Amino acid sequence: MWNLFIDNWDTFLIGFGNTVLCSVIALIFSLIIGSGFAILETVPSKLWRTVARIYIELFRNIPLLVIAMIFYLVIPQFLFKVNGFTAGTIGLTLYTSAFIAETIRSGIGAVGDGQMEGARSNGITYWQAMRYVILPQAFRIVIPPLGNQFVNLIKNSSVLAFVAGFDLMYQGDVIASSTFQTIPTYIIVGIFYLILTLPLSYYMQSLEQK
Amino acid sequence: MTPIIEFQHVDKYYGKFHALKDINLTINEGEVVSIIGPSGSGKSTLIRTMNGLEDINNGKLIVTGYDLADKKTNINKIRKNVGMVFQHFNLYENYTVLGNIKLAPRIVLHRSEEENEAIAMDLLKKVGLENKAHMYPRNLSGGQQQRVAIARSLAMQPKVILFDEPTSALDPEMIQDVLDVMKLVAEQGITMVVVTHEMGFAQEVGNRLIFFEQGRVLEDRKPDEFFANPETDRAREFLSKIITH
Repeated sequence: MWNLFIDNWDTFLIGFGNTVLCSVIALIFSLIIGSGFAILETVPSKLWRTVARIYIELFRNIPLLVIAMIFYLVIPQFLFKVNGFTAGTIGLTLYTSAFIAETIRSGIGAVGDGQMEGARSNGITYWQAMRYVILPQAFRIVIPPLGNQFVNLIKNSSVLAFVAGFDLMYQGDVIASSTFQTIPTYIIVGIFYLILTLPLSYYMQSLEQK
Repeated sequence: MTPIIEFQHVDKYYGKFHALKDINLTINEGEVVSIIGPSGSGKSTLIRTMNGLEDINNGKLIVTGYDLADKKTNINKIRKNVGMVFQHFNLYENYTVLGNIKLAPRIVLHRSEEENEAIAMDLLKKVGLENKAHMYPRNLSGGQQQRVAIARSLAMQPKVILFDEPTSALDPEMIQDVLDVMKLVAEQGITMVVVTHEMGFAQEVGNRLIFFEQGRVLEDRKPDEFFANPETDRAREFLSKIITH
């Protein structure tokens, strides 16, 4: 197994690098988009709540693989050219953002109504109350479930393998089919994923205890 | 006497339930008005309409010169001048005591940090909690939290403070400290509307008493006269229950 790694380390590392890059991009943007839709779900306007609801239900209830395929195969035909990495990363971002939106919305819901009423009665506007009072408390509440979403996101980035995204899983497939050493290859791939997910899990746990 | 809160034929419904029935009530600057009555009578709804936490279905409700029933009214302009103290305090859990008091003056009034800090510390001294400035609300007793909530309202230098059962969630030994602070507020000449079960406060500090029942003002009188000789049977019945319980 060690020899397999030595012989193919550059191929593995390219995959690892792409997986890290995809995960970081998807994490940042799914957090931003997810927070946005979570807030929309709690605004007084029914129209915006419905828009948020539709977005979340759509991306939450279609398999990630299907979403990635749509971005990889359908979008280039009608709109613009995208490579596998970009299509997969966009798909992963939107898919994850729906789950993050649900997570954060439940956090906002868990902050008592009294917090908003207290702020509004103090002359603070709705959006100021969100920013200074509600969201900071909501994020604290959702750190543990958010951590789960981030770990899932990293694991789900393996969807890039299906759309030629040159990620860790894809590179693993390439090595496995050229060396025929299937089992050791995927063990190495698994270890690389653990290098990412385990520290993240522990980091989120430590945040939780603060 | 200058009116500061005026109800003109105000109705409020929750679905089919008629919570406030044709309310006509004027509260003047500097008055300390106690609202008493059985639970479920609509007292809380009444006070919560005064800063727009509950909207009204009919009539006019003019508070500090703005009509709350008018959709064009910017509610935040009213709330800057009308503070509220709640039964369950509603302090911001993510801020310290000092942070709670300073937040609204900072982001609403854009008061300078130096002045904000000085005013906040001065208020904490007045409510007897300057040594708790850097603690979080969860580490304070109910009575202490309520005194912070009053200081938080005062920091906005409002014309009116609404108190919605401010002592109802407190342990008996905490109540007096809060009532003392409320007395202090009254002495400063701030208009106060207080939904309360504290008959002692209503009688000593209040200069006007409203007996509210089934969504209506049944009596609106001087507290001493009310307690000595309630006009309505309902008020008499209510008082006898309170005194004997």
